[in-house]
Amino acid sequence: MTNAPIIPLTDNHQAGRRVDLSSGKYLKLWQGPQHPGITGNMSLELTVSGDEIVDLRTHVGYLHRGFEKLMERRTYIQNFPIVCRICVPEPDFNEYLYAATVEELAGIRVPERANWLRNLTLEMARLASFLQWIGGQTGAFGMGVIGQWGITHRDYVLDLFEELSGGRIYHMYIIPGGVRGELPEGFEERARAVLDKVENLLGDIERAMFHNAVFKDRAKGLGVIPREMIDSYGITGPNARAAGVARDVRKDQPYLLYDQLDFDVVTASGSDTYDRAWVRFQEIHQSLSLIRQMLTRMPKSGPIHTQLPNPLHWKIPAGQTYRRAECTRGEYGYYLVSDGSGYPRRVYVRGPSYTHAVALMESMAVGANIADVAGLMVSFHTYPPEIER
Amino acid sequence: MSLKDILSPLTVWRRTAEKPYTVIDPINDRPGAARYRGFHKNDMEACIGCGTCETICQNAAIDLVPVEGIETTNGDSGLRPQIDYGRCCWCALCVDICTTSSLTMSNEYIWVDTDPEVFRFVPGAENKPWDNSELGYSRAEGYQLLDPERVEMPELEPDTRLTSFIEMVQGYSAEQAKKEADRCVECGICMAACPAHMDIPGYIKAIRENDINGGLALMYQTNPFPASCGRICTHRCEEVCAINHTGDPIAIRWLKRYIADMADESDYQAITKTAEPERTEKVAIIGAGPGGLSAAYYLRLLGYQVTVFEAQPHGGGMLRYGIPEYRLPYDQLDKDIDLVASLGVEIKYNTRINGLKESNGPKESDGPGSDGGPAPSFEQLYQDYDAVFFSTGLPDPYTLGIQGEDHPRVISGISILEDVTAGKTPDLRKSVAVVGGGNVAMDAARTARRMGCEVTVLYRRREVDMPADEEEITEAKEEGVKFITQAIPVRIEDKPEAKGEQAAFVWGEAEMVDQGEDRRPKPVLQEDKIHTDLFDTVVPAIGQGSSLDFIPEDMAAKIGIIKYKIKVGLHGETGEPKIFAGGDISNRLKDAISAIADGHRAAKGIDRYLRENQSKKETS
Amino acid sequence: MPDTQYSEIIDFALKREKEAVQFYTELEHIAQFASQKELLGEIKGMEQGHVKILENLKTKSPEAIRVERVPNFMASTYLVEAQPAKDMNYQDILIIAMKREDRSHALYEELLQQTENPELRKIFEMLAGEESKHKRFFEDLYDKYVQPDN
Repeated sequence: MTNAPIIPLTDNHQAGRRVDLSSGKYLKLWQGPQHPGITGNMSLELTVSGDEIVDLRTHVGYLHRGFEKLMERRTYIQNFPIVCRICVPEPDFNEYLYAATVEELAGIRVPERANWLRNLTLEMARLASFLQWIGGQTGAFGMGVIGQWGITHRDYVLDLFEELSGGRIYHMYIIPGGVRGELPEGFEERARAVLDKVENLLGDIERAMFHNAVFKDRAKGLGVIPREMIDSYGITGPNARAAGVARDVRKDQPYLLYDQLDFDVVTASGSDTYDRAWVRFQEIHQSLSLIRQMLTRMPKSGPIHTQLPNPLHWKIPAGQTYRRAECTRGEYGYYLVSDGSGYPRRVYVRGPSYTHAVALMESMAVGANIADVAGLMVSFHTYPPEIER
Repeated sequence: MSLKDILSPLTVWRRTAEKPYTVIDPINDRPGAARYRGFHKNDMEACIGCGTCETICQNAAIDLVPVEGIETTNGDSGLRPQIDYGRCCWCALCVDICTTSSLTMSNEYIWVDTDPEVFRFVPGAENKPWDNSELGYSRAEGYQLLDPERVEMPELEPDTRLTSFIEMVQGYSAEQAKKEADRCVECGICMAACPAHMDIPGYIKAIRENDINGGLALMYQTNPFPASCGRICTHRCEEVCAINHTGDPIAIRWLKRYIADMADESDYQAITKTAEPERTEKVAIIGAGPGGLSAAYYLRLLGYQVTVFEAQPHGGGMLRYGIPEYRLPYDQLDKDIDLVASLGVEIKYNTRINGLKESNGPKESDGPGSDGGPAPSFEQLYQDYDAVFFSTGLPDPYTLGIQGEDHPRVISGISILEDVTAGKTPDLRKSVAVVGGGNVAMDAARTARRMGCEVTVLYRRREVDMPADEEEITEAKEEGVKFITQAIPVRIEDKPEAKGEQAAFVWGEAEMVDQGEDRRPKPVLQEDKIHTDLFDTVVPAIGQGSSLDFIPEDMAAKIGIIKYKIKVGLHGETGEPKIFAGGDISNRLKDAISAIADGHRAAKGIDRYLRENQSKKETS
Repeated sequence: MPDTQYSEIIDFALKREKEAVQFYTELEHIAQFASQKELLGEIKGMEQGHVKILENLKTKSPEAIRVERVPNFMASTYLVEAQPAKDMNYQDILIIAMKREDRSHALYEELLQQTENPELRKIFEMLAGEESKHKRFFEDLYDKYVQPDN
């Protein structure tokens, strides 16, 4: 189990087809789409021999809402409340990237303070999302209590989002032109208190999760992504960094204020479930640091929004652009095409989950144990809503 | 596997002693944050039912519906937003774009009911527990979707203005016009307030889309005086503009002017092509003011043979003789009139209708007909034409009615304006007192300033009560006109030493006496506070009356005259089926756009009358 | 004999109102144009209404009289009396009407000053109030139609 054979994608599929179900040696098993975890919005079709997986097919489509298509029939401002829904746990990256593409094509400059506030919410989103991921990763390995701590602390971050934006899940805070509101009175103190609380928790998580014989035993060596797969599969984010590839949009193509903030790209070398978790764990620490830096350094006042043309008849000059950002799971991108009308000609959302949850998962699961499938899936940190736009 | 990895997780056991994180009673213990986007609230008094919330809602969760107790009024559609919580996504764009800031959200987020119908409701109309909640989402300071600031209109500096009668408002550039047009939310509240119900959102859209031709055609559907109205319209539309509630109203008038300015010959020709087949019926129109020419335009479009009779040597009525050139240049007025004439409308100038059969000789002003023959009488028109429309306006200035008004240095405001239009120089001399606070008073005062006079306006009430357009008052002040308000005229005296060369104007200070709600306070003379000021000229401009002497008595009885006003129906019809009327002699608003609307409606009324007549003839 | 006095006074007032009706009828004859005649006819109609009210009062006891007083805003005090003429305009006719009501009002005020009898005072007060109400009505018309700009 520990050293699963690396089977190139095509061979793997052919191997699956070679399986003779009538031989009685194999069993088909479905995991999902009713699986209660974050992976459960899609389904995995497992072919097992004993409890070893010999083939895995992914099935998506259970969550398809057609957002990209919906957006072609809505004005630029009307799409603003839609984009956050594309990735439920990390709405802010969608809000930011949508705004950034629109602003670029429309030639709108965003005030400096709005950029700080945008950057702040993106790191808060990273923090919230990772805390939720801890829930998934530990839960999948039978350590649900740790997961509850993570979810609880995520809620403290959501409290901050709620007072800042008026919503816990769908923040709808970053809007073309800037942001929708100032920091509420006393926000900084409350934010710092939450950061301290989370930091305190991280010590416990480190002891209970990363220095835990059970977790180590199950996670180490599970789903090792070979270095050479990283580029050929288009793998990004912690999944790539755990394989020793120092790839991070925040450093490679800095946006917002990342070039002014102090942080290093976290990497590891094991490229297995454990190392991926470790990279993410370090990035939670990093996020705490980034948020603290921003709270200290951001200007205390200034405009938060640029007057847009009347959004009811807003037309954007013809053109196209692709903007990207580093979300918790890797490169997130928005491709926007305008034909000069009041409606986007095409919006394409590039999320990391498609690569990680479909192609990568089908390759990496073969040879794994049924009981590890969920843990392996979570170790790629994928969100099906963002696969099925 | 190290021993540390077995022992380490045990160190977190202390967390079992912690209290639960869960909120035990979220309904009571967990209110939404101060700016939570919860259930909607709507201030029913502030809301005008403009429907912009409905327009922006990407979920189509909002419908504008009639609500009991909310009346449709000028500036209020009478509708209110109904929100369907089966569709709403609580994005609050409706709140952000609300033109009146009436729509907000409470921080309440729990609403349980077994009846699914209740979740479609009209906030503010149906009492909800969160209606008075002070917390909840509202548009933040420093963030707005609608631009509250009007694009500034380039104008001549006051000093430059005073040197000539050059038009002071210079007009928008294409870029400025588009920027201003962009601010419109297309709610259409303005259309209802416009007496002519012009398709204002339509022609503003045409500007945004660079479709001058389309915009011009749209304007001509309801108003054949776009170049004039684009300059001097009383713009009732702007007063009710939705944007006016939290910012500057859209500069609707200036945008209208922009289209008229930009339209070229071919744009105008495109409009004239819409004329219907010729008809044989003849219609006589008395008065070539906006009302008469509007009726003429629409009747001619319907194919009728139209003749307009005008006492003055030029058309336009009060637009020409009551409004100075610096507000409405004659060439712009001529542009509007020429288009009407170019359709084949015959306009007989210098032709005052003489209506008195047994009059004591013709009045001095009764000119001959333009063809040299005698001017026709009202009865003749009645006999010779299939229908008659008259819109003769209010040409006669009322006097102050006080002692000494026959002083030689008293000249009425309207006669000054008429003189200037006719190319004559009114004898104003140096110090001028203008009495009144309407547009005629402002125009007379500003004209006098341009002729080098020192001008003081005396008005009975307060400045807020002045019926003149606000901008006329502001501009008059910029141009150095002095204002004395709450000044009641008492009498005019001739000082022995002035020998008729100067008038001593005696006036008293007024005390404003409250008349209760909805009624403006009355100025009451304080007899112990009387002042006397010497002026070279005193100019009364307090009001004007109709001159209906040309209507013979028997005809008048049929037509229906009440308090010197013509009683008309919806389409300008009078008590006499063949006779229609409109404009200042019949309507309440007494402005150009109302007269234009009257002319248009009368054209429809006359068309209907003539068609009915024709079908009667055919069937009999 | 208060009763006699009461009806005498009402008769006196009635006579004045009838004179007014007569006055406006004469003006109608002088007037040349339909618009003048229409307005005069309307005012005459109002005076006829006043006659009716006074006639009704005759059958009532003085106790039933309601006194209603309107403040004098002096809106017509400084206006010059217009002379009946065939070319009277709206303004002229309104000034004539206001001045007439003003004089009637002044008359009853004076009669009021001359008597101590509380019942008579009440009647004069009532009549003065009525006349000032009528004047007020014309003043309002004058404000609205003749000098809307002042």
